[in-house]
Formats: sequence, C-alpha cells, structure tokens
Amino acid sequence: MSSGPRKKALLKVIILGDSGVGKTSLMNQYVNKRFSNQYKATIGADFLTKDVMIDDRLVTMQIWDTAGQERFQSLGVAFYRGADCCVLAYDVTNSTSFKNLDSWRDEFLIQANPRDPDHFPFVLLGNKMDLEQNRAVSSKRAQTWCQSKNNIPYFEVSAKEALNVESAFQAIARDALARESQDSQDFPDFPDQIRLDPNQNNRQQGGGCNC
Amino acid sequence: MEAMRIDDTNSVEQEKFLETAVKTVKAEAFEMKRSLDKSKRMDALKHASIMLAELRTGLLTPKYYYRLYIDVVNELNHLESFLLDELEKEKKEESIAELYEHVQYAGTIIPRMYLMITVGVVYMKLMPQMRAELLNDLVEMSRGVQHPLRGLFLRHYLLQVTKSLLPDAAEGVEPAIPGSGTVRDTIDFIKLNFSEMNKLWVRQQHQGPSKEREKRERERMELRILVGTNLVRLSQLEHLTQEVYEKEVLPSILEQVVSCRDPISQEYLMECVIQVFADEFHLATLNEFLASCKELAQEVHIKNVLIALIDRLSLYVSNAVGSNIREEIQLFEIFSAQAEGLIQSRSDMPIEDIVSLHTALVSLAVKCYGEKLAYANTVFLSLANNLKDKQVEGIDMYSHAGKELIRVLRVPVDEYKDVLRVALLTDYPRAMLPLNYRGRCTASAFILQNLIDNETGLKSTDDIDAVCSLIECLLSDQPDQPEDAHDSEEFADELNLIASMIHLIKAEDRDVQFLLLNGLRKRLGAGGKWRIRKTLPPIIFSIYELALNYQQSDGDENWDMKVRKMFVCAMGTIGALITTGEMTQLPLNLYLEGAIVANRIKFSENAMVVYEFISKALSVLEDEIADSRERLSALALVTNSVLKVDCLASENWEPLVGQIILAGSKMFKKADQVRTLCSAASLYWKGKVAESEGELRNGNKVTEILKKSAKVAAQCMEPLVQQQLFVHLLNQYYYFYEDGCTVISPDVLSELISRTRDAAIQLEPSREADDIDQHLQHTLQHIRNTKDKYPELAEKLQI
Repeated sequence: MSSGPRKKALLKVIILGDSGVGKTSLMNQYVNKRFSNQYKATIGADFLTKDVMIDDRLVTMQIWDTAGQERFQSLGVAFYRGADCCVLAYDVTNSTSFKNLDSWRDEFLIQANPRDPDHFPFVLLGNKMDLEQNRAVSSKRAQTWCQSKNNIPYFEVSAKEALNVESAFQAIARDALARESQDSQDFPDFPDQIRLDPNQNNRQQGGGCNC
Repeated sequence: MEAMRIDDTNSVEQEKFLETAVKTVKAEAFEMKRSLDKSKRMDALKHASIMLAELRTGLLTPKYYYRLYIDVVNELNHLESFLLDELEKEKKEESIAELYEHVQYAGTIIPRMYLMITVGVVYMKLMPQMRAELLNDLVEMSRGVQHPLRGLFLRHYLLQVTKSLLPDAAEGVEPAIPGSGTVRDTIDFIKLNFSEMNKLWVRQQHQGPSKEREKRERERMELRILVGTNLVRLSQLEHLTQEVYEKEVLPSILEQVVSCRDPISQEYLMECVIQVFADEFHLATLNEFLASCKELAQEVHIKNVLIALIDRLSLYVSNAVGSNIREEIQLFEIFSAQAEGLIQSRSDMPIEDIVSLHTALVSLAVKCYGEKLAYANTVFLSLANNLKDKQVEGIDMYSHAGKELIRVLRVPVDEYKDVLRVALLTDYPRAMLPLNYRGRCTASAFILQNLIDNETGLKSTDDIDAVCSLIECLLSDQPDQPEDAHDSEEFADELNLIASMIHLIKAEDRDVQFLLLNGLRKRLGAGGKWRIRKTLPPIIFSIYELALNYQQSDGDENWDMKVRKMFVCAMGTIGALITTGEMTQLPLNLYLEGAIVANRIKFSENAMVVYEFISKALSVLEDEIADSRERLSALALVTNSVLKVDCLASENWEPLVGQIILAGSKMFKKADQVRTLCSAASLYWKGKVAESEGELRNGNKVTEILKKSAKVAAQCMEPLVQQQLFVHLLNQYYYFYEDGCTVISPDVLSELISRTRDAAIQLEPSREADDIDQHLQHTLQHIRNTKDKYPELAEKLQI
C-alpha cells in the first residue's frame, strides 16, 4: 500500500455480543460520554466515529454497534467486512452472555472471513462491573477464556460508571491500528493484477518445495 | 427440493454478479485513493462516480446488494475523511460550496446523490450553520431515486452518515451556532425521509409479476431494517421530549403506518416502535398505540405486536423499583381487555396465537402483580374458556399450540418457585385439560420437579390435596391413556418424581405426619398395578421412619395404639403390593424390614407385630416364590431377620424357625437343603427369645440339624458337589466347636476330616476340584493354627 500523504487512519471496529449486554451504552459512553438507563433495542447496525490520537498518529475510529438479536439483522452481517478489530462484549452478571461469546467469535470469523483468522485482533469487554453483587462470571473465568483464544486482551468495564471504558477503547484502537497497517493481508482490498511489492510476489510463488 | 435447487443456482449466480461489481469497486476505489494522494480531486471524484455506478445494478437481491453497498460505503468513508482533512486545511469557504455544486453534475442520479450526500456531510462538518438547509436539500433531492431497492439504500446512507450531525438542540432555544438547527429540523428531516422510505418499501410489493409474490415478500422482509433506521434515529434524539413524542412524533408515525395499509409494513413498524423507543414513552401513549392496533389490516399478526409490548412493559415495570407505575396505569386490565377483544374479533386466530397471547398476560400478571393471584387466575380461566369455545382437545405437546400451552403453564411454576402457590390458581388445572395424556403428564412432571428442586415442604392435608390437584394425571389411569403407557421411560421418570415428593411430607407433628402419609397412601393405592409398584414402597419406608421416631411414648397414653396402627397400615400397604402389584421379592423384604423396625420399638404389642410380619414373609416365600434361586436368597433373608429380633417368646419363635427348617429341607436341590439347614442351625446358637437373656446356644439342636444336613449331603450323587458340601459342613462344625459348642466331639471332626481328605484324592483333576481342595487346605490350615487351644482335638487328629 502506498503510505503517501494519507496521514489519517480510518479504523473500523465492530462490537458484538448478546442482546442487553450494553453494546450501545459502551459506544455512547466512549464517544458521547453519556449513559442512559433507558433500554432501547438496536436494530440493524449503526456506527459512530471518534477521532483519537494513538501515539502521534491521528486516527478516526468508526465504531459499529450491532443488534444482539438476530431477527434485527434481516439483511445479514455484511458490515463485518473490512473490520480492523472485533470487540466482544458480555455482561458479567449474565453467564449466558458469556457462554455465547464463542459463537459470536466464530460467527464473526466466518462472515468477515479475514486472512489469518488466528491472529485477527479481538478484545473482550466484561460490562456492568458496577453490579459486583450480581456477578455471575468471575474475572478468572473470563481470563482463562481469553488465554485459550490466543491471548485476547480482556477489560472489565462499566458503561454506567464510565469505568475503564476509555482505556479499553484505547487498547482497541491500538490493536486495530497495528492491524490496519497490514490491511492488505487481512482483506483482499486491491485488484489482483496490481502488485507493487515484487518481494511479495516472489514469496507467494516460491512458497513450497517440489516434493 | 425444487425450490432449494433454484435458490442454490440463484446464489451461485448472485455471487458471480457481486464479484464482478466488487472488482470494479475495488479497482475504482484504488484509483480514487491514488488520485487523492496526488491531490487530483477531480480525478478522484470521477473514479468515485464510476465506482458508485455499480450501485445502479438491477441484478442483485437485497442481501447481495447490501454487501456491495457496504463495500462502497467503506470507500466513501475514506473519501469523506480525506476531503474533510484537505478542506479544513484550505480554509476557504467557497471550495466546499463549489465542490458541493460540482458533484451535482455527475451524469446519473445514483452516483450524483451518493456524492452529494458525502460532500454534503463534509460541508455540514465544516460549516455547522448550513446543517438545517443542507439536510433539507439532501432529503428533498433524494426523491429523484424512485427505484425501491436503490432508493431505500440511498436514504439509509443519508441516515447513516448524518447521524452525528443531526441537530439536537432544544426547541425554542437559539442554538449555539445560528442556523445549525434544532431538534425540530431533525424531526422534520426524519419524518420526511421515513415517509418516503415507507412509500418505496410498500410500492415494492406491487411491482413485478404476481407469481413472484412470495419472493418479493421475503425481500421486503429483508429490507425492513433500512426503514426502521428512521425510527432508531428519532429515538436517539436527546431533545425529543416525551411531550413532542406524544403530541407529534408518534401520531405521525401511526398515521403513516395505518394509512399505508400494507400488512408487512404495519406489523414491522409497530413492533419497531415498541423496540426502539423508551418504556416511559410507551406508558404515556398506551391508549393511542393500542387504538391504532385496531385499525391495522386483517393480515397483520397483531398478537406479535401486543405480546412484544406486554413483554417489554412487564420487564420494565417489574424492574422499576419503588415506582407507582403499577398503580397509576392499569396495565393488566388494559392488556387483558385488548387481548380478549382481539381474540373475539379474529375468529380465525390460530390456537397457538391465542395461547401465546395468554402467555404474555400470565407473565405480566405474575411478574408485575405477583401478589394479585386473581389476575393470573383470570388469565388461566380465560385461556381454558377460549380453548373450550374452540373445542380443541388432545393437543399434542410437540405441536405449535402444545408447545405454547406448556410454556404458559410453566410461567407461574418457574416464577413463584412454590407449587403450593401455583395451586392457589384454582383455574390453572383447567388450562391443562386441552393437552393430551402425555402433555398433561409432562406439565404435571415439571410441577413436581419444581416442588422437589425448591424442597417445598408439604405440611398439611391441604398441601397434599393442592399438589394432587395439579398432578391428577400421574396418580391414576386416565381415559385417554394409551394401553402401553406404563412401558415408557417418561412413565417411570414421573413415578420417581412422585416417590421423591413423598420425602417432602414434613408435618410438624408426628400424628399429622402419619395422617398425611396414610392419606396419600390411599390416593396412590388407587393408581393401579404399574404405579403402586413404584409409589407405595416409599410410603412404607416413610412409615417405618416415622415409627422409629416414635420410640418414646412422651406421655402419650395412646402411644401403643398409634404405633400399632402404623404397622397395620404398613402391612396393608405391603399386602396391596402383593395382590394388586403382583410383586413378591420386594414385599417380602418390606415385611422383614418391618419386623426389624417393630422389634426395636418397645410398644406393648411389638412381639405380635414381629411374628405377624415374619410369618407373612414366610407365606410369601411359600405361596409366591417358586424359583429355587429366589427361594434360596429369600430364605437367607428370613433367617437373618429372625437372628436380628429378640422380642419373640419361644412359643412364637419355635414355629417360625420350624417353618424355616421345613422350608429348607423341602428345597428342591440337595445342595440347597444342606446350605439352608446349616444357616438355620445358627438360629439355635445365635438366636434370642424374650424369656432368656443372651443367645440360645442350644448345642443339641445345632448338632441335630447339622447331622441332618450331613445325611442329606451323603445322599448327594455327584462327587464334586458332595465334597463341596462336606467341606462346608466341616467349616460349620468347626465354627460351632470353636465357639464353645461342647456337644460336638473331636471324633465327629476327625471323621469329617478323614472323609474329606480321602474324597479329595479320589476326585478327578479339574479346576473345580482344585478350588474345592484349596478350600479344604485352608480349613485344615486354620485348624492346625488353632490346635494349641484344643489339645484333645490335636491329639485325636495327630497334628
């Protein structure tokens, strides 16, 4: 990719998780610094953008909030395409939302179909940590799960109390940025005939032995 | 099958069309970005325009078009971000205005509109004072696209990219930036966009040949979220007050929904309103909303709408701690009247829909009005009556209606976690009746399971009656019960649940406890052969347990009589297992268990009870057990039990033991005779009677029986078996000898030893012979090891 004067990076981040875990609230807290107790179901998918500085680079984060209920995704999940990072969210007071993380992750990898799925950046957020007395999933359990998935970074957050939300999204942006710089490897962005890097050509052709 | 194949070929074809389009998008996007990098803005826009022309395609179905659209929008986001960066640096107002005008020269309308929106967004970001005007411009200009699919996606794009730019300042207050608009501008903008999108969506229904109606409806269902996004945007406005919602926004949405007369649109948008707006708004507009429901097309599944609303509000009300909403708004009355009206007005409503409406109402009643049992009860009554009117019966629990019926029956059980409370819903059992036999049993079973899981104690006859009223179909044969019902796994599982229920009977008073057990015994006793086999034994065990807890009279002058009554009850119950249950082994065990229990309780008639129980066990053995192996083990059990009791007088003890010896000597096989007689011999040694202290230790009787056994053993014709029996006898003799039975002389032992030794040599070599010989050698070794204690015997044996 030509890394000429395009200084500002645009990062696409998808938030997935069961209905009611607080995906919209997390996004609203991070982008608008607002929290509402009112529950409004998300239908379809919607994004908000936010400009952030990562080290000395200006980055526009495009954060996609999605409907946790399948029936509200009547057009399918094509918006996973081109994601630079996938944020999995669950509710620490709801063990079912934790158990479903595997299927959300699998669904994402199947639908987004990134190259090298084993190293695609995921981040896990355990929301509603302010409701400690109702906790149903221990930090240990969540961490163990993260380790089993190639060391996914894990944050416990509260959209309501604005706890750890900022730092979690900073980490998300960092992971996504690291990924975006190797964009062309994740998603075939360019027409096949354009090969600017001769080395890459060589590598692809001379990959195997003849036996 | 046919349909599937068509679908498959369609998707292959669709993938191909999409691939071609995406290829162009990628190539043009690449060129666009390259031009941007080189600051050739006009070239970039030209490539963007070619890229956007792909969205003019008529080949793609909605899902594939959406994929293309997402790729294009991803690229437009880059374009927007880049233009914003550049123009911010240039700081020339006219450049953006020029650019906005320039893109309007694009040749075709689709690229033109997408570019206008993209550049318009940059414009609004640079010059907030232009927002209201530009939004209006864009939403008006979009009217130019009248193709439903393309128009819907275009307007969705408009909604998506303007999301963070929509004016949301309070109405009537001058916004910080003059001209940047208030929430009023946004409401107008979305209202217009919404009505245009709904029109496009509805129009789609009427385009194309009528034979493709199904496909068209499927596609329309896929596209619905695009239309719904308008409502989402409205719900996200911070300054959309409840008042504005109530007076203006909702009425205008409802007007749009009702007047479009399109069932798909109506059903979806009504549900969408419920999902996206806040609960407080719904509570404030309940009557208006419900009134509109009545005006919807006949094809609309209003029950879906109503259920969605009930479910949402019950969740809200039940979570709203310390609020007065429950009292202020008569939610239950409103919704039950609505539901009833709906059922009456739509005579063709499927049974499962009728039931699921009631499910929502029951949830509302138990979750929000838990203390008002009458509410929940009314729903079950209404459900039962509605189903009766429809003359439905024998509903299969796996049918749609059956599943729904099971679901509604579960609601209070799961919610109350107290079956006794469920039983207070007096009309609940009536709602079970429309299910077939298996369905009713399943419902009863989860009720029992809940009782057991929550360890709900049953403390009175009322409690027992209450539970029984809910599990009627598990207690006795039902008219619609299949012939082979008892053969199923479920039948066995359900009986196990009843058995577990018996252990939940926990009266505070022992007398009441007996009353309860006895009462339940009578009910269960009517269950027929297959049921009582599983349900009566736990009753008997519970009675024994109760009797053991009743060891002391505690000053109760009727104590003797009460304890006796328990055993009479147990005895009668065991009798039922034999006559009705056609069982043998288990009743025999229960009689013997009863004898041992009675022996431990020192009530005045315990000897009589013990005698009765053991003699009944012996009668079972005599009359009912024919198989010699079973007789053998049964006789061993009786013998052991007699060894354990000590309250019998000899006059009663003797006949019992005599009967055992008689039964032993009547065994069919000689070998069995020898073994049972040997065991019986120990009765005269270790047994106890009431008159004398300690064990009987009657050596004469012991040797008499052993001699008799030896005689039988000698009659045995098979050398191997005979040798086996003699080794056994040697062990028996030596055991009594060691235990101090002086009647046994060393001569007898010596004779037995030489006899077994001689026989051992004559046995033909075999594995069995080896085993027997080993047993003999062990026995002899034992005798040698203990010889010092018995010098007389040692001398005799010369060891």
